[in-house]
Amino acid sequence: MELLTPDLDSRTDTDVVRATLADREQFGVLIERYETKLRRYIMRLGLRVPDDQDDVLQETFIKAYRNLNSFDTSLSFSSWIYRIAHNEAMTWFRRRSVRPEGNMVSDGDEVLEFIASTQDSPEVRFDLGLNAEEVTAALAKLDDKYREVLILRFFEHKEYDEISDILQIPIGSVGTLIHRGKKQLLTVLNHDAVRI
Amino acid sequence: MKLDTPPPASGLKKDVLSRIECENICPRGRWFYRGKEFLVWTTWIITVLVAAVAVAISFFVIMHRQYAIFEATHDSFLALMLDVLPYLWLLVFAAAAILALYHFRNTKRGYRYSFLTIAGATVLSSFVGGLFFHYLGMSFVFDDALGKYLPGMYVSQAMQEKRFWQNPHDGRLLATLREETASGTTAIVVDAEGTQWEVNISELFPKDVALLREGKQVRILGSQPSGEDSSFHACGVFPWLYSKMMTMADFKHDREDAILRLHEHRDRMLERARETYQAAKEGVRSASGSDETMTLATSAIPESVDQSQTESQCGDIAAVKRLRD
Repeated sequence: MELLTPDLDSRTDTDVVRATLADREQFGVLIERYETKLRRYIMRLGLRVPDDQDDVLQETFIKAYRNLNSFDTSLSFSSWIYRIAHNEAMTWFRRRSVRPEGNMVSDGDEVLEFIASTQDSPEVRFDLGLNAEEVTAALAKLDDKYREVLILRFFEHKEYDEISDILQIPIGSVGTLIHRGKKQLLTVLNHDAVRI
Repeated sequence: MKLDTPPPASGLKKDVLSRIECENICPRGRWFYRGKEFLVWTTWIITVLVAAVAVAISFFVIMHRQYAIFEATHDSFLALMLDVLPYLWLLVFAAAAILALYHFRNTKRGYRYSFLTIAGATVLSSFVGGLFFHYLGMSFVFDDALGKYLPGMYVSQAMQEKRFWQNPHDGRLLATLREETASGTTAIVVDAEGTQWEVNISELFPKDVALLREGKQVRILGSQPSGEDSSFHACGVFPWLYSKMMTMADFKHDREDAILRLHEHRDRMLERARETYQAAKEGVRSASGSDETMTLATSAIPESVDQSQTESQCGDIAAVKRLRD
C-alpha cells in the first residue's frame, strides 16, 4: 500500500505524529522524510560504515516511535528527532570507545562557504591556500563540543534555537561554542599551514 | 566536489515498521511523561523548600545566637559569626541547591537556561523562601521541632543557647528567682540544672531587678567569685528569649537594651574610678603641702584606676572591659 499520497505529504510533521499515534503505519512517512537527512548527519558526526548507520538510524526511529508522546509540539519535530539521532550516535561511539572524528559530507561550495564564515577576508583564505579536504581534516581535530555545533550550524544549516534543542544546551552557549569553534579551527588551520 | 555521498534510502522504513510490529512496540502513554515531568518539578520544589528551610534556620541561628551581648563572649562580631555559623545548615543548603539545580536542568526546557541563570534562580528562590519562613517565625518552629523529634541527632538553637548560658564559671547563668533577702542585695535563684545559687544583686540596675522579680527564667550575666561554689555576682539580667517565638524587633530591642546596660555599668565604673582618683589626688595634696611634691606623688597614681580600687565587680566582666577599651 502506498502511504505517501500528495495529500498526506503536505501535512506537517506534527500532523503526521498525531496520525501515527492512531495508525502506526503513518510512522513510515516520518521515516521517509528524515532518513536521508539523519543519515547524512550521523555520517558527518563520524559514522562512516553504512551498516553502522543503519543500526543507529533504526534505533533512532524505534526510540522516536516509543517516545512519540513525549514530543513537545511547541518544538520542531526536526530538532526532536535530530536530538535522538545525535544521542544514539554518541551512545554508539561510547560503546565502541571511539572518538567521533567527523566525516564531512558536503560539496565544495558548502565547505568554502563555511571557510568564508570563519575568515575575516577572502585573502586570508587565499594565503592559507585552503581547500575542502584540509578544512575537513582540521574539523576532525576539533574538540567534540565545537565540531558538533559547527556541523549543525554550517552543514546542517540549523538555527541557534534548533541547535540548542538538539544538543540540549542554552542558546547563549551555542553562540559561544560556534565562536570558539571557529577560533580553534583557525588555530588548527594556521598550525597545519605553517607545518606544510 | 563531493567528499562523500550518503547511500540512497534503504529498506530502513520497512525494517523499522516490521520491528515495531514484531516486537509489538507501542508509544509510551502520555501519563508516563507527565508523571516524569511532575516528579522532576516536585523534586525541584522539595529541594528548594529544603534549601529555604536551611536558609531560614541559618538566619535564625546567625541573628539570634548570643547576639544581644556578643561583647561578653567574643572579641568581635566577625569572631561571633565564625563561631556560630550554622555549618550544618549551610551544608544542607548547598546540597539542596545543587540537587535543585540538577532537577531544574532535567525539566523539559531546563537545558535552555544557562547554569548561572538556574543557579541564580535556585539560590534566589531559596533565599526568598527562607526569608519568608523566617518572617513568619517558622525558623524557630523548624529548629525547635527538629530538636524535639530528633533527640541525640539534632540540638536545637534553644538548647545550644541554654547550654551556653548555663555556664557559671564563665559568668553566665540561666536561672529563675526563688527568693530575695530582706536587705535586697542578695537573691536565691535556681539554675536550669536545678542548682541553687546565692546571687549578689547589689550592682544590678532597677530594671534588672524588676525583670528578676517577675519570676520567669532569665539570663544573668556576671561573675562567679573564686572559691565560692554557690555564689554569683550579677551584673545584668536579660529575658530568656526561647520560651516563645520572637520577632526581629524583639531581638533588636533585646540587643539595644543589653548594650545600654553594659554602657551603664561602664559609666558607673568609670565614675567610681574618677572619684577614687580624685580622692587619692586630694589625699596627696593635703599630705605633701608643696605643688612640686604633689606632682611627683600624683604621677604615681595610674590613669586608669584598677578594678580593685572601684569595688565594682561588674566593671571587670569581659563585656564591660571591651566597651571600656
